Amino acid sequence: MIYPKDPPAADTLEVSVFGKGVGECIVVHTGDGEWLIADSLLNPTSGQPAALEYLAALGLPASNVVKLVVVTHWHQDHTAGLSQIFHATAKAQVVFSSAFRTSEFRELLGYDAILPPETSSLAEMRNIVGILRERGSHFPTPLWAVANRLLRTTPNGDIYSLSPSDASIMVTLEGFRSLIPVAGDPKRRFVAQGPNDTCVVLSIRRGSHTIVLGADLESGSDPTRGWKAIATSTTCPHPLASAFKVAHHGSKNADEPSAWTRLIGADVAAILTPFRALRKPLPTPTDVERLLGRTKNLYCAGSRAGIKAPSRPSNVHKLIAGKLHVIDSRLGQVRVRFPASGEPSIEKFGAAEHLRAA
Amino acid sequence: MPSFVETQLNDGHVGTGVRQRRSSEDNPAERVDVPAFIVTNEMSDLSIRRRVPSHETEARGIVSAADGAATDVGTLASSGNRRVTTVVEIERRKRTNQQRSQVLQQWEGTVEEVGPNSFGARMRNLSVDGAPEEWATLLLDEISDDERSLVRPGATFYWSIGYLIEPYGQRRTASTIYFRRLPAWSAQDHVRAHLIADSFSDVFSNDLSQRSTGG
Repeated sequence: MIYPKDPPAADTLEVSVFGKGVGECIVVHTGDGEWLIADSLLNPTSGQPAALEYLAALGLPASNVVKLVVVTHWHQDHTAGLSQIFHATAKAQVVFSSAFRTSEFRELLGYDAILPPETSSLAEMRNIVGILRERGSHFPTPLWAVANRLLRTTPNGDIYSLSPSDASIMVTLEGFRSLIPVAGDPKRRFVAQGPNDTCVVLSIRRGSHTIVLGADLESGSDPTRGWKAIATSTTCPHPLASAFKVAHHGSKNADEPSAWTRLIGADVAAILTPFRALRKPLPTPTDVERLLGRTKNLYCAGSRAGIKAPSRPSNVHKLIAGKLHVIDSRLGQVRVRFPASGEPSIEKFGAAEHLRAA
Repeated sequence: MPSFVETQLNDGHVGTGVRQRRSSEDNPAERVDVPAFIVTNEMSDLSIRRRVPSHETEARGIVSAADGAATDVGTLASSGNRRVTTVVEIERRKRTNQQRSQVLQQWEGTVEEVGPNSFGARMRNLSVDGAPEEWATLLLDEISDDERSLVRPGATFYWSIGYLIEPYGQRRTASTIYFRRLPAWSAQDHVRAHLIADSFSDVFSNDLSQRSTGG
């Protein structure tokens, strides 16, 4: 993919969402030359973090301009290359979910370190911790995101974390505990189970425009957890969002109607990323239809279709018919800009697509 | 009926012997050099059925001077002190592991989700360099009973598709799944994991007084 090369004006709020078959990354210009990176994916062509490549294409030194690196959660489709980004952004402060600040998560990091490297799922997290330790006590401590925490004040705006709620953290600790092995358990990769309601959702405001980044936050029936907890909160002072990174690849279990009315403005620019590592890849046609009922400005950063499978002998093809599909898809970028004056713009690059009714 | 191979070996089980398949309409005679240690039963598909008494070998014409096998044995044995030829009757073992396999495609999978009848996994193609990652949905019925308990999120398995080749050449397509068995977590692992976890506590510390708050 060829990245755009035109940097935003100082007074422009910009969000770029990068996506592919599995992977998500968001790069935000919060204004006045300051940037935020949330999560990371690797460009399948170069193997490098898309966020760093984009900033380089704009001619910006990541080491100076990036002020926050946000780890919304620990799933690998959001963390690939994240430690490389953190290493390259020497002025950035890292933001973790408060759920990570627990002995249970630390313990999980310890156990994961013993697994064979190819079985590790927390190596990126451990590498970030390693970088923090190397930088020493003169470097800013991590910021621990919880519901409605002011993370940073910018010249004409601010950045809040809207999650996780206290109740979500408690439930997630149970999840961490269930993963911690006991003597005699066979060693295996740690795979998170259950609903994802501990990720960090961000609300980023500059002037009258707000961007909400939904991470992979899901919604259940409990009003104290997930999207329901955010929707019922009255603390965040931001106006309704003009751009929304749709949560969890547009899945139904991340779609909370009350959140749309409480947080999201009409005709919002809604951007999702595909996720093809499932029996039925996300978003499903039903998801797209449902989301189009909420906004006509619906975009997918990254191709929803997988790249071509390798050729196989016909007898192999016969035996695997219907059992396999390619996960990888082409990289794309959707970019939304809100200048201080004038009309906002939505652009798509690479394999990104504007989703329309079938 | 077992398939018989008549083998002549120089006595003392050293050097190289000669194996000769009995000639028939279906199986023309063939001579193959075989290591003499076959008499020690170390060859997987052959075992000594019995020593053939000399009157019988003569009757079957095996140790005739005109027989090439006998000549070869004699040549080999000439380095020894005596020219002694022992004739044994070899039986090809009927063993299932005589099957050979030819892998056409192989994947390494990591289980991501387990349902009541099936499981889903991310698959890395081990047969094609640079092949894209794939997702597989596989039925639990395809997993052998003794491996069913290993189908858990995070488990690694290998899926091979190819041919099973029977001892006499019949080929049939086969799909084989087996799970990697990593060692279990030991008490030593637990101690080590906790030490590593403790080493992270400065970063995760509640006491932020030694650090700047940045901004």
